[in-house]
Amino acid sequence: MHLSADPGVPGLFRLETGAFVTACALAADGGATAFSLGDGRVLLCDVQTKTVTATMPHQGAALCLTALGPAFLSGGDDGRIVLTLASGEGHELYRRKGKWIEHLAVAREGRFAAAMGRDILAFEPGLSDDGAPTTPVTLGPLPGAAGGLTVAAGGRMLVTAHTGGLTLFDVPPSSSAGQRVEAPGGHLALAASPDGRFVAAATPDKAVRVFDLQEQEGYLLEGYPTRVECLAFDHSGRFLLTGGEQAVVLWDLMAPPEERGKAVAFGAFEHGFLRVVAPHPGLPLLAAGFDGGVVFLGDAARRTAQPLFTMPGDKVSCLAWSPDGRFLAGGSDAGAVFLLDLIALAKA
Amino acid sequence: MAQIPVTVLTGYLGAGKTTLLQRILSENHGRRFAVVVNEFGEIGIDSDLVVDAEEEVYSMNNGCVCCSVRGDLIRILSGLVKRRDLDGILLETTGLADPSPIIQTFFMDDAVRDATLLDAVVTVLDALHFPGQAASRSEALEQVVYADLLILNKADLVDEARLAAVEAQVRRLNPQADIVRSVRGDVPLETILGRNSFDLSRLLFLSPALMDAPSAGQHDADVSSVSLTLDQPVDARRFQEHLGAYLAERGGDIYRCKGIVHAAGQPQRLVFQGVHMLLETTWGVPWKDGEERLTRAVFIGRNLNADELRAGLAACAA
Ligand SMILES: Nc1nc2c(ncn2[C@@H]2O[C@H](COP(=O)(O)OP(=O)(O)OP(=O)(O)O)[C@@H](O)[C@H]2O)c(=O)[nH]1
Ligand SMILES: [Mg+2]
Repeated sequence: MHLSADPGVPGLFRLETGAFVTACALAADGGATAFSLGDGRVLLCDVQTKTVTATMPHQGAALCLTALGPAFLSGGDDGRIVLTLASGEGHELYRRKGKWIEHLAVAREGRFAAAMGRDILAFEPGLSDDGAPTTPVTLGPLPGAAGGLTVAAGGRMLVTAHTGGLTLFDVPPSSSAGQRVEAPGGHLALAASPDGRFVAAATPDKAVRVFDLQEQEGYLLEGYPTRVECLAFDHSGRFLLTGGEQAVVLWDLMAPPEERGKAVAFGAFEHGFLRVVAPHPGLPLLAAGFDGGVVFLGDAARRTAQPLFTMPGDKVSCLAWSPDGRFLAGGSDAGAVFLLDLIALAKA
Repeated sequence: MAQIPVTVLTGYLGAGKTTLLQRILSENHGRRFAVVVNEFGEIGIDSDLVVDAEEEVYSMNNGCVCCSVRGDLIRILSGLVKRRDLDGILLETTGLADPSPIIQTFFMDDAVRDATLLDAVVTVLDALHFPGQAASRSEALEQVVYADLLILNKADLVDEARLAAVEAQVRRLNPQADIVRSVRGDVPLETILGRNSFDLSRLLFLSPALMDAPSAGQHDADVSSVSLTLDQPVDARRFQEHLGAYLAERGGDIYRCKGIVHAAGQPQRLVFQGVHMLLETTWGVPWKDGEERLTRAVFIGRNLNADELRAGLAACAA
């Protein structure tokens, strides 16, 4: 199995997997791309040869995926966390029947954490002396199930959002209760600025709550026609990009308070909402995935974005850049996956 | 992608919800269900697809005081739809739950609405204990008024006279729901699943026989139902404005409303349903030739004023 070159778009390679593509990630060494699927598979794709190796780490849906060095971590609705090496070899790191592993976040020095309902599992790197996985420390319980989990401040802070606000933990955790930041109502999708100053969480009632941890204040960003499903900070940490609109929505969080509630929308799309937004790791570029499987590329500084290609499906379900920013990977709810080589695209 | 049907099983503590759930799962139907249960867990459920829900209810910050949703359901349902091997989702609520946040989640959340379909609210009643529960707990009444199907369970524990009395009591509270009797949830699967109760386009008529059921009076903690009929055609725009305004004002007390309207000059019937302040109206199936075109509506709620409702509808006559 391999990704095939798309004749229409230089540098674009695609494959149909036949299952909901829940997440994608690119390894830090640039060797492999992985796609996690709703049928429990994780597909590994060699970035150079485009050859695909299928693995089956989960019985059920693989719900989340992240790169851990050259390997990949996945979590599923079977309560398992599996480390899959680039070779396709899998190691089960954790299993808890009847629970879902919904979010994974990699911190510094190989430490990582997983969200399992109201518990956060904090893992130390590596395997123990006898080769068995190390037992994680359980943090929490949170007041509600984690709606999102991410790291900030150079991997030194772990942030989770839930009903009633946020809980922050340091890495490695100094207390299992963490530090609570209270805010009423539910919180779902989550993003933190790289410096750890801002945290933004989507609420179930079509708003985004911003927590300014430095100034210790919080406020709502409103006016969305639908619930926000994606949030991301640009690499500067100043601009918040969100979905919830038929365009990319950009908020300037450093704007004076009276200007703060004014959003800029760009990359308008007539036929549906923005589902995934992925800012480039180093440049003001961004990728945006809409309903209908339409992928846009844009420029966050110039506030423009245009459609580049369309995948089969009702919506784009995931997008991710390689750490060096050369490759973009993504997938759709109907099982399409792609890998885009930006250098090949730029040359053409 | 096809929407996955969700069946909500509710009913007071110990009424027989889990017994019914087991029964559905154990039948040899070849269908694959995910089961969502409350946080106290259901150890006995024989399925590898059991999800714990935390029943995280919160109100919506949209000026609608009575709108609340189940945040955990938004999460769980969007997770479940990522697997494509499910034929349905069965959701058992806690015995003390008011089912309206669940229904409102399906109304309010676009993603839940796109990916799933609220098939029916099925309420299991303990035929022996329901009268006592209804007298003391408002949840027991709320569970009845939101039901599309009422299962009068534990029919083996009471005699025919008691059973008929309970049936009459719940009929007054909810004139539109189907009522079936059961022992240990022995209800045919076809009765429970595939009801598509919330699909307005399928709503053909509100059963006229049931419309005539006497409405409840002083009993049952002031919860009652009012059924309305009007044989003159109605001005569709005026009616929608009237209903919207009425629910905006009184929605807190209106648990549920549903109706079919004979709109003047329209070949199609106008259909509506509401849960508290949330209202959905749409054009339904065209009237058949020679069919009697009647406007029928039912309101279930607290402290309803039947005269006011009747006058409001009459004022919309074209
Ligand atoms: N006699 C009799 N007992 C029944 C019937 N249905 C259920 N039961 C019993 O009633 C008890 C409660 O049944 P469950 O199915 O657990 O009720 P439930 O509604 O799930 O209860 P909670 O989840 O605790 O609110 C059990 O002991 C059942 O065996 C029935 O039709 N007749
Ligand atoms: Mg039960």
